[in-house]
Amino acid sequence: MKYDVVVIGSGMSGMIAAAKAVSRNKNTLIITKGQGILPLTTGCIDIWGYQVNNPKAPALNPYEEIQRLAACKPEHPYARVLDVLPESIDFLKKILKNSGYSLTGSIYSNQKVLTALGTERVTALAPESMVVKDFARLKRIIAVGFNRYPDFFPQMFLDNLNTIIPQAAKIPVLIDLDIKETVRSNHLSLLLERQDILAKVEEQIRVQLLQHGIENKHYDDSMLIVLPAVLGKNPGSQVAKRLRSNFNTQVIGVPGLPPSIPGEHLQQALMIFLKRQGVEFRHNSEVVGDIRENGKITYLSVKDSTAIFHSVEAGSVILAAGSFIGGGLTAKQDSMLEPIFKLPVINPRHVGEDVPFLSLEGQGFLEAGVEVDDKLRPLKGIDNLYAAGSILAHGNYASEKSGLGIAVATGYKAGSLA
Amino acid sequence: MNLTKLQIDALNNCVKCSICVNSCPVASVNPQFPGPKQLGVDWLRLAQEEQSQPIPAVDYCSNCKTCEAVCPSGVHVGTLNQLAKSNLPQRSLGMREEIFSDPSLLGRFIHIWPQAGNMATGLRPVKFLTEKTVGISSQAPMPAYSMKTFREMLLKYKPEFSEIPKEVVYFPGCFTQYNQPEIGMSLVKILAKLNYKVIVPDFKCCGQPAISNARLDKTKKFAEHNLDILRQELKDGRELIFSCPSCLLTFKEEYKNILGLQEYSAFTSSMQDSGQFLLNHREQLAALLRMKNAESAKYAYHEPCHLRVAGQGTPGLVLLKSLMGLDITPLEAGCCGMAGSYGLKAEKEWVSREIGNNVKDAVTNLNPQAVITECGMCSVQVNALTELPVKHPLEVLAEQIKA
Amino acid sequence: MMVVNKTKVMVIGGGTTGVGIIRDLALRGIDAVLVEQQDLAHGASFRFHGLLHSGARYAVNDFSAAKECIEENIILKKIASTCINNSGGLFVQHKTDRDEYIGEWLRGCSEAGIEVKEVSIQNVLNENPAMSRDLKRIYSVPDGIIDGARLVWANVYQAMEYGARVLTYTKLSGIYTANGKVTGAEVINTLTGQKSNWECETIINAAGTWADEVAKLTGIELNVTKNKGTLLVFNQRLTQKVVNRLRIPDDGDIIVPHHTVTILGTTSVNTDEPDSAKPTSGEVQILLDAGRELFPEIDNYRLLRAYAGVRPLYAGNGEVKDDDGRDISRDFRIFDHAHNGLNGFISLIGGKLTTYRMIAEKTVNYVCKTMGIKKKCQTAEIPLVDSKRLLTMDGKVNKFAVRYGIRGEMIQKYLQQNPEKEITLCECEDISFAEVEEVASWKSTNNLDDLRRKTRIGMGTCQGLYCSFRSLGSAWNAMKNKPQHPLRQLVCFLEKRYKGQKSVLWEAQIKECELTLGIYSTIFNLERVEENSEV
Repeated sequence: MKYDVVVIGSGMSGMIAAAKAVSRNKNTLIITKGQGILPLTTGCIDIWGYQVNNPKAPALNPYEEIQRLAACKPEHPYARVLDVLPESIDFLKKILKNSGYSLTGSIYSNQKVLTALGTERVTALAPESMVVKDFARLKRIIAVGFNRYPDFFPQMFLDNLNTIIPQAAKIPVLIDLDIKETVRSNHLSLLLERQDILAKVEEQIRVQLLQHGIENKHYDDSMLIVLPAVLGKNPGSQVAKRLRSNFNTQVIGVPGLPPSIPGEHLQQALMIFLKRQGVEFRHNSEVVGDIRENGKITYLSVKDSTAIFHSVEAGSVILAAGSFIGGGLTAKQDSMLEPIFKLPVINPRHVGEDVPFLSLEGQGFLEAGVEVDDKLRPLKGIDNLYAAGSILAHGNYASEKSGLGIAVATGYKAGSLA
Repeated sequence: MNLTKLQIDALNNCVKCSICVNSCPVASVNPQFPGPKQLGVDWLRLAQEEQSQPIPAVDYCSNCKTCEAVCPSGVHVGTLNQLAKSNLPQRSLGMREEIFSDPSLLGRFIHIWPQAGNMATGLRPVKFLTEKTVGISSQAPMPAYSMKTFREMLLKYKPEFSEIPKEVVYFPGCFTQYNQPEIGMSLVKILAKLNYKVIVPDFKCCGQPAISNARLDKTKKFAEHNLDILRQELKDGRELIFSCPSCLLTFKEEYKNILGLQEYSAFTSSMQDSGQFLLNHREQLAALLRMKNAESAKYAYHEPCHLRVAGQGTPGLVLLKSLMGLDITPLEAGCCGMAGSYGLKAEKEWVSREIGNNVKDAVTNLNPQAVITECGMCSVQVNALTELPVKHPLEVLAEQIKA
Repeated sequence: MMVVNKTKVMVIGGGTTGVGIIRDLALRGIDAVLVEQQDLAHGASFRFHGLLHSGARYAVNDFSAAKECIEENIILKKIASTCINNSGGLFVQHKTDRDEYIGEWLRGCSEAGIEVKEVSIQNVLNENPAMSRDLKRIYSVPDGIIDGARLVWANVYQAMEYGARVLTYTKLSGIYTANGKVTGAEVINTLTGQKSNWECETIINAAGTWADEVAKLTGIELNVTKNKGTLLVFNQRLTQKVVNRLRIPDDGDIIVPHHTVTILGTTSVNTDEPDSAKPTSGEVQILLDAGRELFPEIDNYRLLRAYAGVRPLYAGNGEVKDDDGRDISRDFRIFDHAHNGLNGFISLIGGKLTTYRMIAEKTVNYVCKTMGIKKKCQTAEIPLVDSKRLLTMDGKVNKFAVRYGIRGEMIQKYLQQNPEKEITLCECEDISFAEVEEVASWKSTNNLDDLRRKTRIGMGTCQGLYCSFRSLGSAWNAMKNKPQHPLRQLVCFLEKRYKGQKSVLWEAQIKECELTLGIYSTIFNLERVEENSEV
């Protein structure tokens, strides 16, 4: 069985690559071990968070910052994809819309999003359910926690918010859904899809606010109701919208400890889109080697759940297997390696170097990866192998706030070339 | 407790990202089930210190193994849950598990008088009684039994081969054997056209139902019997094909991972889904098909969890879509919730039904004429949820083969 | 005005020795206060392998230590049962180990009264399949596993119940003397900077690694050899019993299953900088090499972290034989600085965790003599948690009493008032919200890291991934009123958890670390909270 394009990995870069390839009428297969780590992300598309010349200050226009970055750091993955950057983001938005899921924002500006810790983060595209209109105009912030839900703490959120939105009054609310066990995000998000449960939540919020002297007449746009990001299980969920219109206030769900429901939404929306476009998937399988002929990869050896080796014939191959956590890179005691094609892994900074765990500089090991040319090809002399996403060296998604942006742009370019 | 390599690796590799918990269909509807990570990996680690018994809630694990398909670290989360489940103290409702753990038993029994069996399992007073006494849900959809078994039909089927046929071994599984022999017969007929003689040895149940019902002793008996057969039959390059994804998964994975029968490894490379086997003959098959696009019907495809976990891709879907040109759309709605006999149990029927709502909603949105899926018990559930006909890809394919 | 407090005896140092002494004093009814510059058990008392010695390890080289160990081993199993897992231990002879040593060793054990039994290699291998097939002989000994932090806190809780006062994050800043006699001390709260004065008759310097610094306050030079030991932590149990190498003591001889993890130790090298001791990659390799001989598959187990503890050793009068410090006796010495012309100032050097109670008894006996007090030691008879408090109504062992000593009752009470807090907070070590919230509210808990030593949050496989956020959030109202800003606590906690992982950042652990960064940097943007606000 021959495929025009075989993509390894079903994270953001792999799925965008496949989407682009299939839009070019390429017969496309995704081989993936696990489902990709989008459920570990916030569900926002971070493109570039902070200024290149002043990493303390938020980047106002990610696209401009990236152009600045490319000029001073030509080895950075973004420098390889400047040509397709805005177009790749539009492509993503279009696909998601097609699956009934929409993100607001653009590559030309950043927005501030609150987190479950009560800190703020900057991002380019965010789900509507995370966007707050104008922090400065907020008069009241209501943080809604759930009894036996272990991942959101209204008082912590509100107290930490004091440095960001000092002017607003802050009120914690605790909802009891009468569940006798630990309430987990996926269950809560499913419960909130139910009208009766949502009505119960609304009722309890109103009652508790009344105890603080907040009556229905106070409910307006200057009031922000904050829940954990569990507003509906499905990508097309209307929970946030319903709450907004019922309360007549702003309502958001803030991202926190993974796995995240908004991240899962991205995953689902993209996967449904791809499968319906005819992209084939081989889940729970991994590529373990390849056969090369005349400067091209011709076959991939694929291991399914129990070590059967299938040969898959491939026109071209896109390696989008992720960094360490996704399994695209492996660290040994004395070396790092890329386990499938044994590509050279470069580690621009020293592992375990003496920088604080959390710092503007970021941890060096995140910058390790494979190096590619302007066509995202990691190997000289092999023309049909491309690499995309966090397997690429020189990016540091945690400190740059650039992870999914790099994934989208490099995935898109790989999918265009493959 | 001494750990197997699989368990040690699970403890090593699980980074607690909890993607498996998020994806677990049972945990998402039922908070009594804390999640596959908590009851699999976390429990195993704690049990090393405290030597404690498994948490009883592990009984809610349906063994759909979605957790294994989504894990980024290759942890056999589902298998750990099954192993924990088998260490639970024996349940009081032993009879139900006894019945469910060997579908061939009930199949052979009902087959004595199938009409009476089907009628009885459909009768309200009988349903009420079985719920109260045995714990089988009166609400759950019961699979209907066929008048004739697959084996009986196969004996009567005498294909004519133009040349000396090649041979392939087929594992029909209990659902094909007793409930829907048409699946197996479709395969046999298609293969005959491709000049294959289908050999169906006297296999026992694959043992997957016994695993899910925490009766590993039974699975082991079946596995050893089946292994004997493989030793005799899988020679001269013969392959073993399956029409049921759960049977395939059990042969390929569970015998080794759960029972530790390493000898199966020698045969796993000869096992595949029948759809994949047919895809390997796609050119010959294409020539046998009636005109493409002959049908204007719209189909939806439900991917069984165990097919996904077995790493087989969706060969059935590819056959119908790219070879036959059917208008077929993948639902991609996750687990249907039935999980073999899971959805038939009184205390789990609601869990099963709630999980299935996703599939139901997706089908409602697509509004197809029929749903296609490889798994027998999935088809029972999808049919009950949607009231649409549900077919195996092989059945649809067989209808399009020229006479 | 500076407040002046009064006591009879001031104990400096909140390691096992110090808390053993304060408990001993309290049980004798002597008014005393303990002063610790950080949290209790922040030094070698928690940064060791967790082995309750049977004495067998010292049977050849240090007979008196062996004898003391087995005596104390028996006593501690009785009085400190909540802190001890009576797992038993094995001494295994690898095929490369000398046979001649065994005869000597057996003789030593027998003379010391250590019960040694040769056991069948096959039986041991059946129970511990990960062990090497290259073993010649295996003996069982009455080793145990002891939780240092739990032990320290159990001692302190009991001492406090008997009237002792304990000041953590309090540093001794000056010693007042008059007429060649100690009259009091000045201490400073390191979190608030507040100073206070104490009147006392005797100061016992049990500061362990930092004992020389304490003595220096009076101008007295004390010779403490600081010996760094590096240990490795694996994220699961490799064995159910303590495993010792049966040879002349060397690096990497000891493997201890500790709660859900396994600790492999130790190395031994002298250091001048006890505060910044950290494991080197060379030491990690030495330990792995040694461990591999007993557990051939050791590289296939995930390393969680490596850490170093600094042992305070008595150096005698220039008796140091060897640069690696192993030939120095680890026996303790009591120095009465009356010899240096200062009465009422006593220093302790050396000692082992296993014999901490006995050290305390001997010290307090001596102090009583000098102070003319006649009261009998009771620490060997009175258990840390009496059986009434240890067992629940239906006769089962109360989990909270095991974990929190006599304060387990407070957790129980909190849980009764807040039944919804039964849910699990830490999934690696099975710690509930109730435990974290109650312990966080205690005055002695000043930050997340203190909470960790008491509850074990952050000690398991995920190294703080979920539990640091959850602990801070659930106990927010308590944590935000601690001296350190709560987000600063979080950053410091994560930093310390990372520090131990740095030297073993490969395979699954680098993934774990990436995931942690993904949460606290990518999602919570915590590095910029640090930069942008006055945290």
